Amino acid sequence: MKSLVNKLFSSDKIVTLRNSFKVKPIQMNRNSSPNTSISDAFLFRTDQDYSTYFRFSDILNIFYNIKNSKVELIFYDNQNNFIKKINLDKIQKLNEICIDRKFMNNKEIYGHFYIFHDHKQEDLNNLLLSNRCYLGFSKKGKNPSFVHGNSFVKGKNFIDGKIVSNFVKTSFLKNYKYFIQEDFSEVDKLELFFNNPTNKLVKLSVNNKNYTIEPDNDIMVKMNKVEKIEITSNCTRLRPLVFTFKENYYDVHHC
Amino acid sequence: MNFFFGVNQGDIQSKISIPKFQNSGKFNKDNLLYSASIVNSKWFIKRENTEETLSFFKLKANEIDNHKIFFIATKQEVSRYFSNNLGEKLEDLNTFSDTSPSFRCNLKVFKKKNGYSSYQSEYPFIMTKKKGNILSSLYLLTNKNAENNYVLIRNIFHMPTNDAFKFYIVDVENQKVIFEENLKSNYSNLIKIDNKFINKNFYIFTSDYLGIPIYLSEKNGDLSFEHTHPPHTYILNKNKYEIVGNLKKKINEIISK
Repeated sequence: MKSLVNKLFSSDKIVTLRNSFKVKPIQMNRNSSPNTSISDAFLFRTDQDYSTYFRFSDILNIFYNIKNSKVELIFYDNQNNFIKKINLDKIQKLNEICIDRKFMNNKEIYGHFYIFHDHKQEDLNNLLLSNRCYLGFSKKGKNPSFVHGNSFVKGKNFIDGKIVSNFVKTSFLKNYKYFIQEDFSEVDKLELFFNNPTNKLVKLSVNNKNYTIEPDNDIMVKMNKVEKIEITSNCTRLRPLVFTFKENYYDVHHC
Repeated sequence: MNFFFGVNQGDIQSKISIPKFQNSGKFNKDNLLYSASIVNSKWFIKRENTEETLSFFKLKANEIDNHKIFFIATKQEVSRYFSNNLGEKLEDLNTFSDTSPSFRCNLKVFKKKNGYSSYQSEYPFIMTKKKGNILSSLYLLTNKNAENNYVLIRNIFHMPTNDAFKFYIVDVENQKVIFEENLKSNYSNLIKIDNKFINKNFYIFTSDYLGIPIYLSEKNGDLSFEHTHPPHTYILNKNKYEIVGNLKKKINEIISK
């Protein structure tokens, strides 16, 4: 009986209701089902002369000594249109992929991708992994500005291959505020990249300007120098990646 | 409670902007900015009269060194600290920076007439109570084609000591130590990394003290500054510390050879 009540109390709609009224809210569910490889929605850019360097480790080999592990990378544009899927069977302990215009069939776009690890070792049950990975954004061949992965967006089950979503939770109301703890008054301009990590429509305001993000879409919000940024949303954890620009230099980091 | 730190070494300097508000937007108007540094084997706590706006304390490069750490607290909390403690150890004296997501400052590194790079930075109090080893890949955040690569190892330990501890670069494939250097606890240790050490098999490892490894690369004035995640954050199973502990044990065996 207790487990039934717990199950009901943790169901998607009830969690959304709890989040709406902030009654024991759940912002992110890290306790996914076992046997899952969890990925962030990693941003890539080939627009505006950017190339994106993606570095990842073979965590199954490093932590569990699995020699025949594989990864799958699935790329989508910012409107969540499927671009391509690549399967890498022969990976090293540390790996780099350059996502440039050529990689994207000469398209100047931005979007996101997921990385899922896989293994066929039968005696390894209930693994729950999240590869945080690193992205380096290089504009016109400049020194890449590196940033780490930050969130849990999609998971893929090692056994049945099912994709799970909605690690980040939502509210029926636009009542989650996030103030970026950074002063942007010294930069010339900035670009904030938001990914909707859920399969629901996300409504947000950035310094009182309204935006919507369709499920699994990305948006870029351009701003001029500003001291503070306030984000209000129906998504409980909506934290952007920021590109700041000053004179001829730029920097990328998580907020 | 979180501490904040910077780095200032040669032409590599830093700025720190510390928010007066939580990421939920809440302010506590009684919070002030303090620094702590080690003087005569005691923690010396001092109010910092730095530039401030309504929303941020803004520490400039000349107010930052490799020793000093910063924190926000009320006058009452600091008085309470001194009534129980004569600077023998750091204490968790403020809850304002205990938030989820974490309460962070912006730590920006720069070189004069060059670019800049930053990340949202914090050093949680709980980490100051622990000892351990840093294990981090030298490959993931460096650039072999850059003119300069560095790793900043920042340790904050609750006791007011500048103990020496070892920093190693370990070739895990060939099971040997290829570089070692002495670092200090309670210090921002900036280590220049020779480009020949930027290799997929090379990891950094520290003896005795924990800390945050933050990598800095520089090419034609463009900088990149970012930290790696601790290894246990890749594993979400309950035995994550055991698995990472076994990995660190193997590295310890290499350095003990």
